[in-house]
Amino acid sequence: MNLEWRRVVITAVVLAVFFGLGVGFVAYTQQKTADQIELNRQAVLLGQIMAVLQGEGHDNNPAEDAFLLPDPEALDLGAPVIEASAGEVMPEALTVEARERAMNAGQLGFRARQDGEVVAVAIPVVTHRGYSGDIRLLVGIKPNGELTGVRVLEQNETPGLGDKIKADKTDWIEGFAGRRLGDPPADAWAVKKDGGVFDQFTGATVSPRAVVAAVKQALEYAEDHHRLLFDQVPREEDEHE
Amino acid sequence: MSNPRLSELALDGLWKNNPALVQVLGLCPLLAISNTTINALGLAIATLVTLLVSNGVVSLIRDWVRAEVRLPVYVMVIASVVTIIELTMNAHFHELYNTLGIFIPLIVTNCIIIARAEGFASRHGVGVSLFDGFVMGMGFGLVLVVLGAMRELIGFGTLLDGADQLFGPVAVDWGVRVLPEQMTFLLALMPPGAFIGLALLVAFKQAVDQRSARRARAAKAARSAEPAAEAAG
Repeated sequence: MNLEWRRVVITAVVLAVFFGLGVGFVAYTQQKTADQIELNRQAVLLGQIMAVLQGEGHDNNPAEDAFLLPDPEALDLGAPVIEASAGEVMPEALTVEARERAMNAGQLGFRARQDGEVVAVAIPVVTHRGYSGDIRLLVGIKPNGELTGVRVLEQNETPGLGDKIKADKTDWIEGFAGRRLGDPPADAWAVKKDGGVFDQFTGATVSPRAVVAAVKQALEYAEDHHRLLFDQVPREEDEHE
Repeated sequence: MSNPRLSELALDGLWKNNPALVQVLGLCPLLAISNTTINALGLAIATLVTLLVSNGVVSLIRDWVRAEVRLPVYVMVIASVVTIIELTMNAHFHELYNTLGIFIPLIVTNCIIIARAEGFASRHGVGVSLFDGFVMGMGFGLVLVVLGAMRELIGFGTLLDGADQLFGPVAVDWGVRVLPEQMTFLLALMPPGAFIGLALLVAFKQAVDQRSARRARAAKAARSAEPAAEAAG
């Protein structure tokens, strides 16, 4: 009996030591790489925002000028993950954890400013009407409702057909720059096959149709929430100064 | 246990007992990620490193791990190694990490790794275990890369497209277009293309094996026929 217990204890200790070592090595690597990974994420995010703004002049870092999107359901981003007076709250006022949650849920928008004035916002929008799974876009909009540009953040469309919506495959998505609600008129905000002005691809109508509808949805959202998106003074910074 | 000869081990891993073509292990990452050469190469390298490190570690600790708990310990070793590789890739090969996405953590579930840990590394010295990990990883990786090249060539008409994700800015021009876009065949990129491609590779290996077996039989028959012919002459 005594011997049996000894075996059990030794086995347990061996197991615990190895698990401790494993956790230790992983924790060490995690600590060593965390900064670089965060930098990469920021760089990717900034790259996407810059692609959407397409040279719209600004003097801040939009990736750091994030804000909680009001009414994220209107952009099909799902129910709000942060209960706050959205749009009014600068993410700096949130806890790190809450900010991370909003970021992961894609419920943050980004502001480009020149001399403190908002010159454009980059907001995400999701459509469930893609050919295979959701398509997630980032849309850049000026205060006058004009599009600066659109980019695909995530998609799972058929390679060679539906994925021509991506900027690195074709320049189809550049066709949105400069458009707004009313240009073309509302009933022409569609692909040509549906009587609109935007091209579809040979053999692929579903993906461009979904993107066109989503961009329109984002423009309508920006119109409905114009004050919250554009008339924001950087309150937090004012308090610090 | 006596150590097997290195040449036999190499032949085993690369051909006779190839993890992908004969053992048919690790199909999930193999089929899912083999749509371009570079994706395949990225996952092949990650799997190879995992196999090397896990075989090495398991062999090192084989005398301290009691039989009752060896599997949990091996799983722990493999999971740690894969997590460390994942974090390192996320930090230093971010674009490729984004492409390979969930398939890096899935290396944990690639049975070839636990199979080599339990079946080989836990019974052999560090040197041969490392070598075994290397050849098994190469065997798996070669099939992955060949399948990736086949699918990229037929599906996109290109080869090595996106090499800069893996090799950095120097590799921006490595991608070449072999076939014009009108001649590509979409099916190769889709899941059925992966299955068909792998089946062709397995069939190719079988055909080669059978042919060499037939030759060996013919040679043997010829040898045994010779003395008879001499006697008759």
